[in-house]
Amino acid sequence: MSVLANLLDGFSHALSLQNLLLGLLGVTVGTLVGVLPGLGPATTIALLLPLTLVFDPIGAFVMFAGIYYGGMYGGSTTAILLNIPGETASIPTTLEGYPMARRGRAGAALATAAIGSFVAGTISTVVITFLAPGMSAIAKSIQPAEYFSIMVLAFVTVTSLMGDSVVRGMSSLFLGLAIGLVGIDQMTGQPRLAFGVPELYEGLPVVALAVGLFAVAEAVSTAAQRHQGTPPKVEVSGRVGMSRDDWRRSWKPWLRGTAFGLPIGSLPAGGAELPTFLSYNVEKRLNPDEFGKGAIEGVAGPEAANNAAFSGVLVPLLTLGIPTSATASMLLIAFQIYNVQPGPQLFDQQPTLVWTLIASLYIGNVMLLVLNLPLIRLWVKLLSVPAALLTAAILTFATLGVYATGQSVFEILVAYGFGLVGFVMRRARYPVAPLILGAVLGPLMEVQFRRALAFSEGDPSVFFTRPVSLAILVVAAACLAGPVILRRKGRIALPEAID
Amino acid sequence: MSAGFLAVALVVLAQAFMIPDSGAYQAVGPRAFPLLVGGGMAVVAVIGVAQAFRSPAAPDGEVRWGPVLLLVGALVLYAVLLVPVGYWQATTLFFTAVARVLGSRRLVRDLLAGLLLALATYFLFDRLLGIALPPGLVRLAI
Repeated sequence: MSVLANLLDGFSHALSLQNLLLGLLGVTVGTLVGVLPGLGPATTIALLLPLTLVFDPIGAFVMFAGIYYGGMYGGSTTAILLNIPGETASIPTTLEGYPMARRGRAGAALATAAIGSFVAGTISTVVITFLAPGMSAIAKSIQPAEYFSIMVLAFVTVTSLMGDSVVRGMSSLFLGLAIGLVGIDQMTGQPRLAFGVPELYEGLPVVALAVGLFAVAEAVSTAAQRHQGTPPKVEVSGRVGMSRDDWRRSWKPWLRGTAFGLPIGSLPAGGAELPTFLSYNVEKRLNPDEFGKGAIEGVAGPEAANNAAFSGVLVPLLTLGIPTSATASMLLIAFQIYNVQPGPQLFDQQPTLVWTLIASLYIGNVMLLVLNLPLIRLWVKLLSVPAALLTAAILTFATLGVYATGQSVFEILVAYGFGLVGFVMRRARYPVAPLILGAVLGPLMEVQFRRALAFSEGDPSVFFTRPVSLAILVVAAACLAGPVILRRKGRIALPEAID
Repeated sequence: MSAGFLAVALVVLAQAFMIPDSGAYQAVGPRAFPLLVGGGMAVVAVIGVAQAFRSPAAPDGEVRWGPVLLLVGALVLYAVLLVPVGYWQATTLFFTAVARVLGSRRLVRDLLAGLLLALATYFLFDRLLGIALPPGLVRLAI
């Protein structure tokens, strides 16, 4: 079938009444949770994962697409109104969005973020619709040694391009890889790092891990810094919309942001942080005067880049099974709950699922625009709920989510434990995104590692003697060394990681 | 912090060496990858320790350990009591306790908010979505 026929088939499933309602529900709760201070899209998905458990995979993924977009838009709202970025990729939005809001232009900032996200999301979805099947065909020819090297590259870029220390990022990554080792070895049935605890034989529950690292850690941080003062919240005054002048100033940054976000996000090495910061810097260079005081270009560009990158990230996720951001890791976890393994075979084995998911990305984008722009005042009301109650509610939902997926008190304790780990890491400025990436991707990486070595009959030089694999590893080494050298020279400031 | 990572790395390595490698029919057994992970982690952690010695990290704002410890206590109690006491009962108490730890002083409001949230989620998950939650001692009639 051609791409268009597949896509139409996807739409025919996504547009059923039940799935439309699920998409609507997803966008709504996604925004609702995403708008809470400090909760980025990854946390939002972690918290809302259990809600999807009862639906069939297609319904669940339609809902996910909604949660994904809703959570992202909710994150931009807190970045603009509270100066609190929910994730690293939202930092540029705070730089111009919050000053805009303080100057009484919150409505325009929220509108350019929403419409820019819609434009970027739609363009990106169209591109990945045509790009992904081709990528999938290429991905099928990738041999284990190259697969392993690509995963190394993904790890290295995600770890070294964010945060101010490669060592801290790599420490976090290796801890995640170690966590991924826990449990019975799939190929030989040998328990590893389980310390004789039967509950650990199936591995550490990744949902509990993610909920702990993201949601519980956030709550513990709130407890640790009570009364240290949050920046004053800015009300949305005036209408949510843009003037003719705002439109004129926004459309180019939207397109430029998309041009950064989509290609970088689509690489199995990207993530969303780099394109948003690039977009911010380019817009700043183009209009140096107003930046810092609330320039609309500084919201329009990064928000579009963020959304385009988030759509682009689906290309490596769906065709290679490689997540390149914390949010994509959460999506991979969701796939695994439904026993769906993204990768080269996905388009052949689960065509309905894939195409319905892609169709629901289009729908999710539209819903986001028609639902959030008019309702944004309602979501913002949520911010007047006292922080103590919000945190208590987050912990309640976190616990409920973990219990609902595993029906086990042990998993709740695992989540709480990793909440403390995440809190301590955050205090010491260790990024947690590499950890979750390592824990989720590590087991898949080991499979490719062992396959490659099985083909070479145990000769480890296979990774360096095959030209493509060697080239990828050289790029990875350069990505690892590059930022270290540039930082030492003080040329560039890379984004400080937050989660 | 890096010392902590180093400790974890050593545990991983020690455990990896204890994994019996029955490589008779396979080129690579279950041991190689853990060794790689443990080794890599140890290297990174050693660099981290060295960096910490050269330039000790500046303390990063003050942590109020009191509320953190109370919160941890509330979490552990909640996990332990959830099944014997029941979902909505334990959740109401937990919600109220957490709100108080975080500085709320309006006990009645917090109790009511907690009860409302607990009952709402209980009905949503247990009755509507069909994900069984611990009923506890008092079973709700509806």
